[in-house]
Amino acid sequence: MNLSTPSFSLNPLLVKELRGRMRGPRAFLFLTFILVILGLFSYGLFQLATPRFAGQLSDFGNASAGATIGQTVFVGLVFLTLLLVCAIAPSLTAGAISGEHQRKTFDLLMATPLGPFTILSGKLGAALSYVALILLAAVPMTSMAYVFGGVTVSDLVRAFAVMAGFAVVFSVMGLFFSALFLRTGLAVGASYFLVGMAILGTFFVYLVIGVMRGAQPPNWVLALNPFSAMASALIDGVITDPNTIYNGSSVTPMLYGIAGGRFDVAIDKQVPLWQYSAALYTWLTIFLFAIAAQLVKPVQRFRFHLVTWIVLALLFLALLVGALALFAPQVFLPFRSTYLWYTTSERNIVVNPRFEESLTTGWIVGAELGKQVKGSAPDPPSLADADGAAVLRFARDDATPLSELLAMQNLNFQLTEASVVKLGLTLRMQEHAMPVCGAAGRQCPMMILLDYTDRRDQQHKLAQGFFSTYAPDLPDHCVNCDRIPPHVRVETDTWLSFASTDLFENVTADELPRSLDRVTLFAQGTGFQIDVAEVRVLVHEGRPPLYGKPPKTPRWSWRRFVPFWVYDLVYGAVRGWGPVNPGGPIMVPAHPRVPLIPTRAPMPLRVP
Amino acid sequence: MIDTTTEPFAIETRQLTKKFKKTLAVDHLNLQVPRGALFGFIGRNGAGKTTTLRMLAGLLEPTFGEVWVNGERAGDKARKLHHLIGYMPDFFGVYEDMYVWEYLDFYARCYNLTPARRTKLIDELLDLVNLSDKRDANVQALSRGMQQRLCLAHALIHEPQILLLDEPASGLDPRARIEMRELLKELAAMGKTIIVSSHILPELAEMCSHIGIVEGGRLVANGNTAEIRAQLQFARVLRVRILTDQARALELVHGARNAGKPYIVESSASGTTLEMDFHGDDRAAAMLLAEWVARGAPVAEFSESGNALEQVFMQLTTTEL
Repeated sequence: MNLSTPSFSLNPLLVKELRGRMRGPRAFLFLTFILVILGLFSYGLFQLATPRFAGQLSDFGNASAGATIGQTVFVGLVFLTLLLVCAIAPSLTAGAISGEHQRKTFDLLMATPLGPFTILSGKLGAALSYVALILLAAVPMTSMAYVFGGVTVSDLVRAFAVMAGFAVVFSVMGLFFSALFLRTGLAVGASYFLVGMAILGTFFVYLVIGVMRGAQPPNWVLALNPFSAMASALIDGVITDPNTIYNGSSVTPMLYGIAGGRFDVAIDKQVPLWQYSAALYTWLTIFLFAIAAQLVKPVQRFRFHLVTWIVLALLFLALLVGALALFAPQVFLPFRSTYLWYTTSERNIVVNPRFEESLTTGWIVGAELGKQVKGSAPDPPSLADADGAAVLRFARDDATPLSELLAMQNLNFQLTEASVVKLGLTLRMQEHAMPVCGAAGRQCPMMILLDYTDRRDQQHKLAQGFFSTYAPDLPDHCVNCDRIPPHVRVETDTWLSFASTDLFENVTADELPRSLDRVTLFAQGTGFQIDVAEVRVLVHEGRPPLYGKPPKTPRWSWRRFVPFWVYDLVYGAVRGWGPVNPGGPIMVPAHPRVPLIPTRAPMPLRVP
Repeated sequence: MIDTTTEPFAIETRQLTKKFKKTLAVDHLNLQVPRGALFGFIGRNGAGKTTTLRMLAGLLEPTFGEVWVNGERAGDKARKLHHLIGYMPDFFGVYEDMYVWEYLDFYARCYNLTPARRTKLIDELLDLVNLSDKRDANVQALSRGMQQRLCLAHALIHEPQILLLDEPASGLDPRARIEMRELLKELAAMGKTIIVSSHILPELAEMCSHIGIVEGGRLVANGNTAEIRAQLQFARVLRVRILTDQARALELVHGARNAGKPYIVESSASGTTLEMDFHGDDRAAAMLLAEWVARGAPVAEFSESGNALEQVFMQLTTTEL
């Protein structure tokens, strides 16, 4: 056998492709063409940026003017070059494997001892060498910005690193489609479609979310956008450093705009967008390269059945979700209640919630006179009988002085981070004198208040108001209730069972409750009689996910790399399974004693 | 371990089968190619030659069966196999923007040959295939015959012991065919095992040491050329249908002159169909029939079998291109 002694040798495909590509004037004409475009573009930018500072340019004292021109030219050129990379990189590799098939050279190649990895890396290397040539040619062009200042070597390195990264990503994408479709045209089309989706599609989604929410959209939507990644990388640099003289140049807002603002996470642990992009695209690239390697195997090229596609898609989705869970866990916050792994059943943590026992069990009741009112206080809420069920009755007639009645229970309930908390109240309003919240919206006929402490030890009150009588000229809430959530209207003399959705569905990790402190029923106003049959603070506890760890955990703790369910399995095994809170669950009676309590939506407002 | 007492075949297939969707391209093929043989692999277009050769070259995975190369099972050592075998496909293309020497240089690099060796081999091979003067020509500018020869040179670049040549002469003019034939003889003289496929028997018959005839994915003849010749000249298969049960039919045809052992194709109480090798001309066949009829045999059918080797041979030899 003629196995020559193994020696270091260049990838044969790399040699061949480069020889072919660099032969003749084609490659260099193309390069010249690109440089001419870049040159014209930067000249245009210079012309655009200059007039505003025409008078100041000679003034050496004004460094800011020059810096702004420099930054404009630099950023403009960098973005154009990035666009060129996005356009050129996939087209260089889209014919790599399909071309071999179409030229009928694939069998000859497969008969050689070259493996799929060598073949793909040779093709990739050749494409990247060409992109590298273009980028190297563009470096002097961008460095013209130095004449004006405002740009550092660090910015230059960042910009070209991002471009090089995307060159790899999109080359591999082209390679993958080439190996998949075996037709160059289709591969080019598919690659350009995806590049277009990454650039325009993500911006579109970002804008649509913004318009729909009427607020700043979450910037992780832009993580797949090359331009946002570039902007984010440049923001990291000196260009927008608030400590330098250059801050406030006209380029800065544009960069923030493209990168989706600087609202990454909490200010204290801000992760720049480009890090998310890097993570996502690294996974994507490895994934595509691995599949492409499967596809160019000579004998085992898997014919894709539908099932294989589905499995691959699921795998990809799992990777994506995994990457998001690692790098951008806050993405999942809005969906917590659907993916939480509950460790306890949902239960009511209120003691004596149906007033079956005397009020001394759990409840503290009281009555308080209004601040400028004299006289004796009315009776505090007391137990009464309504339709055969025990209720807590809040009653005050117009004759008694203005006062507040309350029933309060201290909960002191420590919560895991992953808990769903809901409020519920079953009540009937038999009488409600003043419409909505009384005069000037200050007196709520009935409110349920939940005091809680968040993960930063901030105290909060959550309030839900109820009213019965309505007047269209009054606001539909009182100042005490602070607008959100809106008051619920209860039809007079009818039982209503109110149930909220997850109270903490839309808060950030830091605003999640650490403990539920107190629940208060609170009646106010001129004249009312309200029966409360049941008070519910429903807690459904899940395992603690990692994102909610207290900030003392180091940012790059190993725990970040352990899927939360693995962590929880281990954690659970060590700690022992069972309810998270000591004290045990409080059982809810199976048979409600309050008859005829339909749970239904609040009544619509009717204008008399 | 290679058994030194019985030299293993250079190439041996065991029950090699390839199925594409529903068509059976290669059907339990048992092929044996001794070392140093110039093996002619003959069959019609679509008989399964290319599929077989692609499986031998490791480019296609068999649906079933094994390929043994030099007494070792292929598949486990695909890389090693690539070093042993040189393959030239029936249809192939060439890269654009490439000189003839670069073309060979590329494949030499694929086999990780040292630069010195590369240069030397490229010169030798170009000389062998008579393309030395085209060394710096563009590959695409070569004529079809030259490209064929260049492709042959590429298959030789790593000095393989075994050459798989899929229709190397197709599309060549008569002169180029003769040149190609001479080249093959030269290579065979160098001691290489060569498997060359063609759909034309006479083209290969005179130079090959061994011949395998494939039809419908099955090997219908396999052996050295002299044997095959002998078989082809005389072999006929008689198909006889006698309206009796099996035992009676066998009794009737027993001891027929010039005929081999009969085997049953189909048998029922009402009739039996037999096939038997027959070495004789039409006159002998007529006499045989007359004899059976005289003995009172209810012969319902007496014909030559459609699967006869002769018929295959006729098809092979009459189908030009």
